[in-house]
Amino acid sequence: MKKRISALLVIGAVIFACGPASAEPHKYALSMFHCNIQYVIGGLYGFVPLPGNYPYWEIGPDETEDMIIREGFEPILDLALAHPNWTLTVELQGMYIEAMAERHPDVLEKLKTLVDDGGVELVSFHYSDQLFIATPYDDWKHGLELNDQIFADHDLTLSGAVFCQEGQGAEGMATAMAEEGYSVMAWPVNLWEYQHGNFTSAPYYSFGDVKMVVASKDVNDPVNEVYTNWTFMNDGELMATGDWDPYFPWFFHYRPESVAEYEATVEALEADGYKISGITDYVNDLIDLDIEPTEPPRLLDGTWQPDSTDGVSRWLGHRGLWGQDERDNHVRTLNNMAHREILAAETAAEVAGLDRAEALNEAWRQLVIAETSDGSGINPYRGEVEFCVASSAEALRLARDVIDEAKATLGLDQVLINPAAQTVTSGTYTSPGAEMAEGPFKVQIKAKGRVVTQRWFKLQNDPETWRLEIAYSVGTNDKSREFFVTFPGWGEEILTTTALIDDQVISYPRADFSFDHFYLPGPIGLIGLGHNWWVVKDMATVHVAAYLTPQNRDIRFEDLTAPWSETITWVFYLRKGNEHQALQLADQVNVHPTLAR
Amino acid sequence: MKKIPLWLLIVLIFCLACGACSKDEKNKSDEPSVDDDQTADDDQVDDDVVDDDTADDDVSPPPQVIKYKGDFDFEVQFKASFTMEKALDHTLTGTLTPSAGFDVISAEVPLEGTGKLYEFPEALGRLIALKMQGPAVPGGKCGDQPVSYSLTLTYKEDNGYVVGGLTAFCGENTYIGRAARLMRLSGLLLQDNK
Repeated sequence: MKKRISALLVIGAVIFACGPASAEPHKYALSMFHCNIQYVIGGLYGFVPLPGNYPYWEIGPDETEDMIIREGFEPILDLALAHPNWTLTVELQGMYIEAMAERHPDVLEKLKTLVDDGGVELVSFHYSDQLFIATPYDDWKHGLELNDQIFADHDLTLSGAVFCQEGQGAEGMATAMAEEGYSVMAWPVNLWEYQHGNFTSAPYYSFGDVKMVVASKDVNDPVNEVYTNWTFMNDGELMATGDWDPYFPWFFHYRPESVAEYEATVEALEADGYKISGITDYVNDLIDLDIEPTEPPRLLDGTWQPDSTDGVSRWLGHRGLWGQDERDNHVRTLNNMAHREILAAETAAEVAGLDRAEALNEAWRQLVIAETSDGSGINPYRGEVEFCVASSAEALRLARDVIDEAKATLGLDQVLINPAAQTVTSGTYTSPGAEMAEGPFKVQIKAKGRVVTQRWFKLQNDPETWRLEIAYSVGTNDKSREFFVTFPGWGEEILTTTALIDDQVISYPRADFSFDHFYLPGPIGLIGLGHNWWVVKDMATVHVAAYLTPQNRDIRFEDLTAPWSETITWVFYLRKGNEHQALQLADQVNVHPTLAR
Repeated sequence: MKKIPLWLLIVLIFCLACGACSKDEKNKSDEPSVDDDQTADDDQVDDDVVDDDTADDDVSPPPQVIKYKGDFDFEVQFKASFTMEKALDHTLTGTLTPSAGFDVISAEVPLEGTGKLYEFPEALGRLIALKMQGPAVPGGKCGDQPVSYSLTLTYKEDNGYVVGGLTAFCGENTYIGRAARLMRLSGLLLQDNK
C-alpha cells in the first residue's frame, strides 16, 4: 500500500512540477502583398521625360499589365505553391482577375488552386484601385458589386480581411465591411502612428462590428503570449523584382534571388515556431483563445504613408515628381461630375421607362476606373492623369446619351432631374441665390499671379445658407499654380464625414490626436467650421483636401496643381445649422444634386 | 508610383529642370480662350458671340458653323489631328486622324463622325462627344468586326485645353457595353479661322 501511495505521490509530484498545461506561445508570421494591375494605368506611353522614343520602355496598357502579372505576381504564387503549409495574404482588385482571365489563365488557375488549398488568403475591397475615401458611398458600392461578380464568376473565395489601395483606412469602412460580410480590417501602422504616435500594438482591436489588426506592426504580448512578425507589407510585385517597380520595364523583372531572400526569412520564422498565417485565421485563433479585442483610439480617414505623402494631400491638391503635368482638381472634380451625371441618367431612364442598364453599368465602371488613386497622386505622370480624365469623360458621355434618350421619350427639351426625389420635370438652369456685397465672414484667398474675384450669394435665411464663388484669372506664368482658401473655424471638434457613410457627421476631439497637421479628404465635401457653421466644397468645381492643425481652428483648402494658363472657378456653400441640415446641403450639392439638362 | 531609384530620379529631375526634355507644351500656351459663347462679348476675347458693343465695329450675324482644329497628343506620345465644326444648335461633325495605330485603330485612317457639345452649367464644364466608325483592324482586339469609337473631350470655362479620350467598342454602331480600349487625347482646340 505504502509503495502504491509513494508511487502515486511521485506521479502527482511530477504532474504538479510541470504545472498546468504550459501555454505554448502563439506565434504568427503575417503578410500583405498589395498587388495592383493599375500600377501604371493606361500603360507607359510617354513616360520617359527624355527626348526621343523608347519603344521597350514606353509600352501600352496590355503589355504593362502582362509584365506586372508575369514578372511581379506569378512569382508570389510560385513561392506559395512551394510551401503548402504557408498562407500568404494577397490583396488585389477585380480588374487584376479580369486581366489574368483574358490573357494569363494559367496564372489565374494557380491563384485559384492556392485559394482553394489555403495557400493564399485572397483580399479585395474594390474593383478598381479607387480613392474611395474621397468619393460618395455609391461610387465604391457600384465598384464592389462588379468586384463581387468577378470573383464569383471565377469561383474565387474572398477572405474576410480588408486592405485597400494606398492603404486607405476610415472608421466608416467598419459599417460597410459588416454589411458586406468582411470581418477584419488591416489598418496601416503609419496611418495610426501619424495620428497618435508610437504605440505597442494589442493582438487585435475592435472596429465597429468587425475586428482590426494593425498592419505591419508586430505584436509582442507576453501576457497573452501572442507574437506576430509581419514578413511583408508593400506593393506585392516588388518582392519578386528586387524593389523595382513597373515604371522601369528594363529592370522590373523576376529576380530569383529576391524571392529566395524573402523565402529564407519566412523559413527561419517557420523553423522558430511561427505559423505562416493569413490575417483572418490569426484573428479567429485569438477569438478561439478567448483573447478580447482592444478598443482603438479615434482614427481619421487617410492613407498608408502619411509622412511621405503629407496625408491625403498628394492625391487632392499637392504635386509630386511630375508636378508640371498634374491637375488634381480637374481629375477629381470630373469624377464628381460623372457621379452626378450617372445618378441623373439612372433617374431619367427610370422615369422614362427605359432599361439602359448596359450603358449605365459601363458608365459606373468607367467612373470607378477614373477614380483610381494614381490619376492624381502620389507621383502621377501625365499618362495616368489623362487616362483618368478620359475615363470620367466616357462615363459622362454614356450617362448623357441616356439622358438625351430619356428626354426624347418624355417629349421634354429641357429638364430638371432630381435623383433624390426620382423626378424629371421641365425646367432650365438658374444660378442660385441673390448676390450680396459681403458674406457671413471673411475668407482668405491666396493665388499668386492671378486676379481673384470673390462673389457671395445668399440662398436662404433658414437655415442661413450661402454660396461663394471664387474666380481665378489666367495666371501670369507657371508659378501661378497655387491656390489657398482659408475659412475661419472654431471649437474643439473636428467635424466631417467618414468614407462610406454619407449620412452621418463624425466628430473627433482635437485633443485626441498628436499630429502636427492633417488633411481631410471630405468624401461628400462637408467640413464643420464650428459654431454651427459648415462649409461644403462643390465637388464639381473644387475637390482638394482640407488642411487643419490642432492649434489653429481654421480650415484651408489647397491646390498646388492648378494649370496656370486656365481660368478656374471654385464654388463653396456655407450653412449655419445643425448636423442634419449640413448633411442635407452636402447631399444636395454633391451626392444627389438636381441637374438641369 | 511609389518608389524610384535615386540615380534615376536625379537624372530625370535634371532633365525636367533643364527643360530640354519636355514633350508637353500644354501649360506654356498663351492661347487659353476659344469658345466662351455663354458670356456677353467684351470684344477682347476670342469668342463667337454677336458683339454687344455696337459702336465699335460692324455687326454681323453669328456664323452658322464654327470650325475648330486641334493637333492633339494621342496616347501621350503620339499625335492625332482633329477638325470639328459646331453648328448653332451645338451639334458637331468631326474628323480625327491618328498618327499611330494600335490593336483597335489603324494609323492614318481618318475617322469621321457626328455628335454634340454638352454643357454642365452648374460645373462650368463642357463635353465634346462624337461617335465615329472605323474599319476592322487586322489582328486586333475586335477581330473581323468594324470598330466604333466614342470621342470625348472635356474642358472647363473658356479654356482651350481639352482632355479626353477615344474609346473603342467592337462592332458597328456599338457605343455601349464593355469598351475594348480607351485611348487618351489632349491638346489645344482652337478656332480655325481659315
